Amino acid sequence: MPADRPTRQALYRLGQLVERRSPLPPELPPAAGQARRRVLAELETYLNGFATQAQAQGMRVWWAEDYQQADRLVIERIRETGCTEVLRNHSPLFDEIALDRAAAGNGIKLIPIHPGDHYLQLTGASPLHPIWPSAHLGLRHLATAMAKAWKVPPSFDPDLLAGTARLRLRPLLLAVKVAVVGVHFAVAADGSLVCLDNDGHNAHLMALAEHLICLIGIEQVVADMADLELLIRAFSLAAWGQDQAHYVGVIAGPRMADGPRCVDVILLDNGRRRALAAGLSVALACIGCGACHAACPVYRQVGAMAYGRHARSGPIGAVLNPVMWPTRRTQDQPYLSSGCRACAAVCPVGIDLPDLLARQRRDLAARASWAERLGFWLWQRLLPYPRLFIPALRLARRLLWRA
Amino acid sequence: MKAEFSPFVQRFMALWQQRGGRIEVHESQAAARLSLLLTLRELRVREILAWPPAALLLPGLTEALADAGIALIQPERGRLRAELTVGLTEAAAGLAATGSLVLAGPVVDAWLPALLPVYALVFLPIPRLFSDLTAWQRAQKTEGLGRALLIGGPSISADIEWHAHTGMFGPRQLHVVLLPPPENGELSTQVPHEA
Repeated sequence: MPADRPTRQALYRLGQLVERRSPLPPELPPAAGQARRRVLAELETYLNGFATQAQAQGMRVWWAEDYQQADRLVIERIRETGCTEVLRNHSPLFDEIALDRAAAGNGIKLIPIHPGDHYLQLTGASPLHPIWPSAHLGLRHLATAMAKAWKVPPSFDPDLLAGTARLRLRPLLLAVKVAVVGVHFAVAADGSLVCLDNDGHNAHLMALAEHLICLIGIEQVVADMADLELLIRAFSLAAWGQDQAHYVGVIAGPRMADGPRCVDVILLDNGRRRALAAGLSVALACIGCGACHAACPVYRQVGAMAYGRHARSGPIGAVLNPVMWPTRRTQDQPYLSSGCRACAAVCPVGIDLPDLLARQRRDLAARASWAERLGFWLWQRLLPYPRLFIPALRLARRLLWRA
Repeated sequence: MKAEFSPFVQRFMALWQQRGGRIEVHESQAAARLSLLLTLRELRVREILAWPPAALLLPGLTEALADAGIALIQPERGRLRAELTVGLTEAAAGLAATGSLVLAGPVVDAWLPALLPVYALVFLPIPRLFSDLTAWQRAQKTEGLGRALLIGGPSISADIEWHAHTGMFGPRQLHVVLLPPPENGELSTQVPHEA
């Protein structure tokens, strides 16, 4: 089902923005891809290395096998602090584990401090894109929601709206006690955690929160600082079209004098090891920059929600979702692609998504029932003859409708 | 006379300005101090968020600020004052490859003066310019970055229809003051840390 009109317009505009950027330096995707593959080839070694280093730095490390365990771990850590209002940054991991809902069910209010995420919460809308979650919210829609929630006169000037959001959100940041942070990278060599953004909310949380609860997917570990530097560049170029994000915060454990006094790290599996075992280590190299989303003509039509609320979206989601979260809804996602290779051309870590999608389609075809196979065989035979094909299609529709 | 800068310095300056940052370079520390005082006078501030005076790089700056009636306020967690609009801090390194600053080091709350105020002034001695993060880290002879903040430009949010709003959480204006090495007081055109 196609996305609504504002979402499609926003995705079209996003595509135009991305197309206007200079192409990635040709040497970057192979080098960044190699850095990711090196870790994924020996993931358990690097993960244990990271956990050992992080514990040596004074962090508490927790392992979550699935989203329920991750939710439980986050909520338990928040309960330890006694806080009921907690700030969080913007991360697709929170959607993946449905953290907002789980926290609300336990009497904890999670306040998104990322402006885009906060606008989504105000309007009740769904995210557009991993990096630009709120770009599809029209000015009128947003202004009305802000006016209602914050009792301010509605304005249709984006600068004024952003300024109003700043006035509301910044005091929350300055007074933050506990924060839940979805981390971009974890460095195995020294146990440090890294967050990137352009508005600085992550750096504020890392500097000001007394208790930091960090969530990270197990595949996001990088080997060392040299790889980290490369991947920061790859992420920044692919996500925002700039050499480096305006703010890159790095913490290596708690500090009594400044920074968080307690750092919890939750390493999330939730199907990642299953994907690795299924031979999808190439796809797990994804760094979550959202470049393939913006380039994909199918995504531009269907939007993020077609991939399921708590799953990854876009071409990378179409590859990983059926393996990581095998449900009836995710099974057909490899078909959400036109095979145009636009996603492969923009991937900063050189993932050949069309090849992976074709592989999964072949697997799906091999597992198809005899009825499906017969249907496709007939379709293939009848397609060149419209006089036969159209009545056959009508008949098939009628039969399927009855079934 | 216009000074000749090394390609390192030129690249850093070009990238910094490209992202909307302000940068100035002085031939002596006295000139840098005077320029800073003039900037603060233009901004009409009486208090600025800053590192401990002893850690500030420019000799005589604390006294000069006191003479001008400007107080240095150190950040205290839990009692942060949102009304402080100007911050003053120093960078541990500048990275020419990305045109960014590295804030790190032993000083407590080193990040905050560059993170909280609307206008952030950052001192960067020219000898602390490195080609990239790896080169800086190699010079530090440490395994990792430890606790560090890399700043590549002002705080920008483009979450409302991609309209860029500067100064969302952090500074609207980032002002880098490149300082000459203290030994001779003159501006160096050679950068000792090669890639």
